[in-house]
Amino acid sequence: MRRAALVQGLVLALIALLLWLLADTTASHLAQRGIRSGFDFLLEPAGFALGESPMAFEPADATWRAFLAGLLNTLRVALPGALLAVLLGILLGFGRLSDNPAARSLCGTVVEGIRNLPLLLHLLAWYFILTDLLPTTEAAFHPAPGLYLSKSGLALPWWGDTGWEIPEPAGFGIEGGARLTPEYLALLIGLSSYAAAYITETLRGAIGALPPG
Amino acid sequence: MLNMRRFIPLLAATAALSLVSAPALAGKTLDAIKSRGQLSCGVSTGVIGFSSADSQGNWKGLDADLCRALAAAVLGNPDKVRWVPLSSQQRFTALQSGEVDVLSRNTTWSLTRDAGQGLHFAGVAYYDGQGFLVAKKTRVTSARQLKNAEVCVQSGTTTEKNLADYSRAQGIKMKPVVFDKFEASLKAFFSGRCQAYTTDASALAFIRAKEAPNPDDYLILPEIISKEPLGPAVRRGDDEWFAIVKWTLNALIEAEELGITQARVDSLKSSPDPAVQRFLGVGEDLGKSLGLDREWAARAIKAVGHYGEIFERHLGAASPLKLQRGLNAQWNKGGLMYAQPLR
Repeated sequence: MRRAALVQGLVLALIALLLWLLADTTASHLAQRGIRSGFDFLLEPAGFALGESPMAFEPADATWRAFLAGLLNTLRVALPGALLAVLLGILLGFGRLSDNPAARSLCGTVVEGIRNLPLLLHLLAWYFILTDLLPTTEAAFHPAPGLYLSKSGLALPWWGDTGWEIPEPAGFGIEGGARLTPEYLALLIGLSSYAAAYITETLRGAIGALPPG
Repeated sequence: MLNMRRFIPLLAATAALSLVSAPALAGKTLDAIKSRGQLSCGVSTGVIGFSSADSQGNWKGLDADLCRALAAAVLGNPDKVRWVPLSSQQRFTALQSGEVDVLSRNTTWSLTRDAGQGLHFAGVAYYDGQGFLVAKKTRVTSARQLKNAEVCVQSGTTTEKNLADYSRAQGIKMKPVVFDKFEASLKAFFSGRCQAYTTDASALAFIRAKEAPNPDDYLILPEIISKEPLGPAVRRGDDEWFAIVKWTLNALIEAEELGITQARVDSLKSSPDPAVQRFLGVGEDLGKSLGLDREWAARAIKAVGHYGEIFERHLGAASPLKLQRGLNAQWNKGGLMYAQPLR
């Protein structure tokens, strides 16, 4: 028993030694060849701007903040996306189980269509619809006061720095309120409709598995 | 188009360097090229005018011809080049690990690259700068009018950082819309996703001429917002090879100043001008100090012509890009091309 533990310890030490040797050799060779490496760049200014960030981010901010903004962007798509997918999935699921043959076949076609195409294709198709088919920013589609839909995305009234803001065209862009970019919208619509199709089938399966009565 | 990711090169370099015991660092590159019988040249994956392969697989462009000139000088044959197309993420690793002997791939010479990536830039083969392309219907005629505009840009490049610098320095807020692929960024711009597109001015000329649905609908703005000196780079630790690349580039530029064209290399050997004689190897021996024979420079010019001829062929009036010489004219013609004396 004791001997087994000793052998295990020795093997572990050997592996640790090999790993240390690898790291040490690499570091000294990199230094010898004048190649700078390490993680200190995380604390240096990023030097680039972000197209989209839920928190304030300037090019002078540290690089790690850009990673944080990326993480927050992921959550900004994932959370509303999950909610939308569940709602849409339940709706489609009830549609597939409906007694109405028209609703049943329509929902069935939609779900099967979505499930049989790869996710990447969904995203590309949505992005194409949003950036190729919509009007340019100057000629934005303006269905209601404060709503602008264009190649630059959707602008809508939102709580901003100066209180409740109504978006207004200004120069090239649209100022005030909140803006959802086409990249964000394509991702949100594509991901949630794709996930919704799977939720529909899960729901249908679950209800079908219940014994009648 | 000038990338600067740190992780991928680092990972690859880690793997490569930790397995190989410390290689001898000095004077070996020339020997290796000679015993291999081939120069290994790192080029781009396709930038018209600099390095791009035609339908027969022949590499063309300013950067490609620089490698041909090197092969002619060192091996006596401009065709003895192994072309290694490299993405902007791969380029420095390929040079550091020894996969290529020289990186001739529209790469900007900057401090962090020169001092921090284990390489030496041998000179400047093309003075470029970053500009903007806009659709004429936006009625923009100056970059200062791009307030609040969305600008399509390739991610992870010096271009992206220059855009942020310019925007901060001028106090003009611009929104970058980033794409990791060149083609995707172009498609987005021409679909109208962005009001402006930014990259190096030489590439903008090509994009306007060849990629735009109708070139006359697009305008290159007059502002040049950065300095992009593009040049060949070599690995650190081999000063002899560094000198050969540096002086071959100088020779191409000097030949233009001396009027030594591809067609006249042989006939000029009887020229009374001592500078021409030296250059062509009939005067003093300039090759000896480089570890080459006395006709190295003559062979380079015979293979690809002088700098002006190369420029006209790939970038100038005879090319689809139709670029002016501008900063790339000879120093005595108002440009920055100034070869250190070959003597």
